[in-house]
Amino acid sequence: MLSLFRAAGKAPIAVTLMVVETTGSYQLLPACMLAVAISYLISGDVFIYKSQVKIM
Amino acid sequence: MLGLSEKDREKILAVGIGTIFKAPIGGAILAAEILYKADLQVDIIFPGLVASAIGYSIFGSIVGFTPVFGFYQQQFDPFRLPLYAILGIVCGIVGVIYAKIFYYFKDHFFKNLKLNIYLKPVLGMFITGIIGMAFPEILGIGYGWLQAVIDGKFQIFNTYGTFYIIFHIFSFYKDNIYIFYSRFWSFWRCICTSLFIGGFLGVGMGIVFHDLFPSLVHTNT
Repeated sequence: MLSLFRAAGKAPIAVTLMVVETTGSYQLLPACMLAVAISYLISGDVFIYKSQVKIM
Repeated sequence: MLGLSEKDREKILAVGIGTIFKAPIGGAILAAEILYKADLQVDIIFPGLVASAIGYSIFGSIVGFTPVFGFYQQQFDPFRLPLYAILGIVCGIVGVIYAKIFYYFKDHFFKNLKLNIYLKPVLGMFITGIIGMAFPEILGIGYGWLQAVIDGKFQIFNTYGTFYIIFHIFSFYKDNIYIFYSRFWSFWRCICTSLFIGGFLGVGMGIVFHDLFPSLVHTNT
């Protein structure tokens, strides 16, 4: 339950998948989806990679 | 180097991350996701999948195919979901603070410093070294420490006060080291730092939750 990685990188789906893959456990998936989605929403417009492009 | 365009190089970088973490699908999706704030670049996914699969096979055949952070054994328990929601909130806030501190130092502190450009990294390293003398965890990439924390081997850490406070302080010190390295800023370092902070934050929260709800959360996660 520990390896919740960052959502500040603005790549929520990839992070969710990586948690499952690096811990080798699919029972973490729903919990991880929840946590990553919430942290993604909270971090809002702040991001760590300035070179990311916004296309809306 | 190989005569590729800038876009192709970005793709390669992102796919490489998936290889290093032995997370092939994650790497492929990351390659597509990381370039945009709220979008996916669909045409990267398919070359990314192929590249990740090959990279994973080569990397894994040398270092082994076990997941990077071992296997998580416990059963899924729906009553834990609210705790993960809280964890998500905390992680989101910390992510914002991390990014703000990072760019404060990079764009304001070091940019406005009246120093020779060669002395700035030296100053950064000096401050980092001083922090590292008290908290050796922040030096280096930190995977070893992260693994130790996930395994619950707290005795290898020097204890300074209570665990809760320390975990959170560690997280911010780790920020500092990369702030001071920021003259040599790179994508890769940023990923490592984020992992480290996230890992420590997760363990810290896990311990807090264990004390609050002992029946729900077990320590040896």
